[in-house]
Amino acid sequence: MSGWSWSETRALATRAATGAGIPHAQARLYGASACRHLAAGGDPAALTEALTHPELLTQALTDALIGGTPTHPLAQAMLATDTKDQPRLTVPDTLKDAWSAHAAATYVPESATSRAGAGGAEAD
Amino acid sequence: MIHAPAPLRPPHQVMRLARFAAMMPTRLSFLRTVLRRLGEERAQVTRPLWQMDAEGIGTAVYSVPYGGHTYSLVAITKPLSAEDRTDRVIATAWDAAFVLYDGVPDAAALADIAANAPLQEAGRMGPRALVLSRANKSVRLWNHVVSSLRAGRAPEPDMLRTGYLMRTTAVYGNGKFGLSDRSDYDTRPGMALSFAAEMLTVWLIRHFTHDLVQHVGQGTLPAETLRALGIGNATGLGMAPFLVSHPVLLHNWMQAREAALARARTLPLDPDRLAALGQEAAEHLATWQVPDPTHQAHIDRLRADWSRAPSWLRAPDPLAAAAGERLAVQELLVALLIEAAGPAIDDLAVGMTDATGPRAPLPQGTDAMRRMLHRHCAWALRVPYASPAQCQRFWYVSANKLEPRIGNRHAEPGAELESPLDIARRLAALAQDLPDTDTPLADFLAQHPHHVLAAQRAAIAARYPYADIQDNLIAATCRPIDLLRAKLALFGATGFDPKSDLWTRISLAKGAPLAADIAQGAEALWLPA
Repeated sequence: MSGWSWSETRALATRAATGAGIPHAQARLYGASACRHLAAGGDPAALTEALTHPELLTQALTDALIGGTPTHPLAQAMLATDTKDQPRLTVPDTLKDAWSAHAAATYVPESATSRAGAGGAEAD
Repeated sequence: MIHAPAPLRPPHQVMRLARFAAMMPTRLSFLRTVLRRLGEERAQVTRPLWQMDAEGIGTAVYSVPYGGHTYSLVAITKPLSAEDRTDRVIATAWDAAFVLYDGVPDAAALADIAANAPLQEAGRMGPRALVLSRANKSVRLWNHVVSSLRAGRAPEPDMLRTGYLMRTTAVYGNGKFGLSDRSDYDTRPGMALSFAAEMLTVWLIRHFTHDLVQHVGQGTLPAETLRALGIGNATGLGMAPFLVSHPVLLHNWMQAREAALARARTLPLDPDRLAALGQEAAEHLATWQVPDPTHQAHIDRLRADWSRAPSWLRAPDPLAAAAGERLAVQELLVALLIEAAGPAIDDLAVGMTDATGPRAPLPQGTDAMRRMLHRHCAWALRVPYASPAQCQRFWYVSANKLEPRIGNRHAEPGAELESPLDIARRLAALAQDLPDTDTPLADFLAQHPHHVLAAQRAAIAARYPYADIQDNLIAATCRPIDLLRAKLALFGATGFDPKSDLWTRISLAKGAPLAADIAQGAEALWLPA
């Protein structure tokens, strides 16, 4: 495995945060912060732990977004440098599984109605 | 032509779904810009590997220098049964899989790509893979061209109207499935432009399809025939949310386009050139045929309307002269005027990117937030969202394929998991909840964290006026196909062939220079031609 791209890491982390009940803007910040946290060698478990307290995390991320003084380590990470200092990230399976489980809470089963008109099946 | 500086068309006129539904590619479209650079560099496409059996199953590698770097397209073809050939994103097998590789792949890299690219979403790509794609044959045309070549005949012109031998059904980039992050290469020359790597990929795929059909058909097609064969694409809802979730990028794309138009309206354009382009557009419209009678009727009407083009094109300001015409006419005329301006607008392509992401400062207080909303987002505040028709749709991500879908809030489950594409409604909800007494916005948002997204979007709208599609994207009347049309036109697509309100087929690089043309420094085409 050649590691995870920042983009896919951010996308899964963002969706996991949404699944954990974090509002969308704050979930995006969690996704970006998670990348920096991992790049800096931070403990992956802290990322899953944070999602178990969505209200606290929402508050911390909101503080970071609206210019307050965040106390949560993840929110502080967001205020750190914006530089992408390493090309790939290591996402342990435990973190991937935890994120995937939260993310799954945001997915909607397709229905026959929603598929109608989606087409694409016809060949030519 | 008028010589006073022309103002940009205002966002409330431009950023509407109805106008998006009529958008045409221009010389600022991404594919066109990539081809222009390739031509300027007289890039030479080479084929370091061609291992194909008689039926065209195997592996090929094409390399091309671009902006001082070498990129390679790796193409892997597989046998595919008719029942497995579907354009839907849920497919699991394709006629061909492709990777755009950074550099020239060695044997180990090729083996890795061969093991993973055919799996597409189920595979894992390495950091030197920039783009992942797949395509299926347009079987009728493919078989016709192969049999024609084997019989020593020229393909029938009517058959060639399909416009492509293969059709991509996804072109992934920016880190998906382990691909390189766009930020890893977007500072390279030519790669800052949005979707540059993806456009380079599709042009090389088109080149590959030309080689492959001639290999299987054991014959040679004339260059004129090859130029008429682009690469198809089947596009569904997957690309629609991008326009909403990248507001600054959308602003930069649209503002550049509008600035090009304004510049074109200021320049003393050559009347003969305008007339020639008007005729080219008429010829393009004459060849644009789609199976759906409703959409064909739109094209037929555009053809009829365009017969009046010579009179507008002789006017001092052609766009003003056509102001009473339908939007389809106006947007074709926009593309024509931008084309007529020629290299005088090409520098604007540089601004069609967003390296920093959407950022804009929030106001200090809730009163300032309210003023911001009323000044810059008034279009969103007028809609009665409680009306069932105004909130009928909801966008979501499907559990089956993790792809965007759209549902009926009043008839289907899942609306509580709605994706945040309801920007208009969110802006209105924020306006509704702001307190009567001025309060620090930070305090308000701390108490109402679900409004942070809307506050951010309002601030972005204040700074970037073309950031939002100024329509209610959850209304029953919203047609996702209109979003697709706009984005595909920005890519440089032609031959729009809508199959429903949810998906369309298009052509890319139809009529574009061949690799041999590019090596000679060929001027790229005007895309609607």
